[in-house]
Amino acid sequence: MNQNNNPVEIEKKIMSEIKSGRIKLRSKYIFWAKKLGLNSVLSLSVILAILFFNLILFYMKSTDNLGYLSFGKNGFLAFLESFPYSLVIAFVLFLLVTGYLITKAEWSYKKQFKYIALTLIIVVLFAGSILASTNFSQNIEKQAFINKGPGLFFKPFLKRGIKIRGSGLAGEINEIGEDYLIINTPQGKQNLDLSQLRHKFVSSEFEKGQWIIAIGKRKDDIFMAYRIRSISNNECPMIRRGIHIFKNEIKNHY
Amino acid sequence: MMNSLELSDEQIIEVIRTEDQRLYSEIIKRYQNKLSHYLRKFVYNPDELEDVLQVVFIKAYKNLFSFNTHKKFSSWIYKIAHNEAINHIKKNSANHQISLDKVEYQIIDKNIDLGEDFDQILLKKQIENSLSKLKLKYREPLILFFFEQKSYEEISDILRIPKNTVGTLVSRGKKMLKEKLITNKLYESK
Repeated sequence: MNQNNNPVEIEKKIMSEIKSGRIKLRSKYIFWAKKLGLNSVLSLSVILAILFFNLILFYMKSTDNLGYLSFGKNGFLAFLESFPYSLVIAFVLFLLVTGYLITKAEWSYKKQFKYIALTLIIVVLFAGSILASTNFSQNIEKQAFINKGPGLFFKPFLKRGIKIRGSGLAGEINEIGEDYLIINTPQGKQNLDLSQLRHKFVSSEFEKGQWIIAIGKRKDDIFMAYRIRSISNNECPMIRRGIHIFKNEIKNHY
Repeated sequence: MMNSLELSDEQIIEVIRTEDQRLYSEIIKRYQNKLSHYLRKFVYNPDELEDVLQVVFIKAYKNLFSFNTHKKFSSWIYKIAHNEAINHIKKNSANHQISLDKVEYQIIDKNIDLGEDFDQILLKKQIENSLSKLKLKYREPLILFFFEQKSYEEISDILRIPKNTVGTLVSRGKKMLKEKLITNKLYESK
């Protein structure tokens, strides 16, 4: 086999192409732009992964979602129905995108990917949890619901928190009847039928202005409650704020 | 043109990028035989080898601004050669056999330590055959480590895998090669 492959020939060929200008150096700005682009997209995807994890925690903490689990297995359907799927999907997606972009980074091959992935997950979960303990998410919620500011981008993800549900309901008692309650919700007044309650209903248990959470089944405009319980003042804050949005009291409330 | 012999690869690249592109001929001179030697393990046809080698030098030249002069140029250009070798293998899936020169054969013989039982004339053919059949994942680090005399650090930079993984692949590759050689010998003696 020809080991040297006409050394002079190859050198001559390539150098004549270079000298004639047919082969040119690519501009350094192209490589800078590529590097800058990759680093920017990578940073953005890490920030968004942190932000979405923070919003998942915020959503679960401030909506009726986790409250349904207090009814045991009966509340599981309402829990699933109110679960923030879009937030979780976006979070996982940004985590995957970040992982993919890291594999494209110049430094990534130096360490095993499983360690890089583990570090990434820890950083995102930790930073997301820290962020969730501030009022950052509430500002996003405010911007989303008053259609102003960058928080508007998150509206499609957060609006699920105050939507009408088929198998769960949370809100403020507006009126108490023989076998019904009228409940204020972010979506307006809801009729809660108590005739199918699986425990004895004592009307004196409830009073106007009190907050409740219920599981059951929706039939047209009426919600047939199977189980109901009152909730404390610090539960479901997003729904509380949502009611003020409905009442157009948003500016005073935030 | 300045005296390029005194300059390191990285210094030459700096000059090519900023002042004198003709100095690239020095890079070609320095790396032509080395890369040709390396690529021979993946590209068996001499004409194709020449084409691949040209592509490597042209790609390296065009992308010189992407090279970080604080790093080793040899690892960078070997990485380009490695990528081109992989592209060539993907395009030409036909199974060919690696051909080793005497020094390479002695390196393998010494490192694998097969003892006195092997017929030394047959052994060279068997090593070539077994090395050709070894998975690319193991063959690449073995070739870089034994025949190109690259360190684990350099192999890590060329193949873009962690240094620890390079060690594991070289050691597993060696073991697999030895097993293949022993199996072949037993098969032939029956």
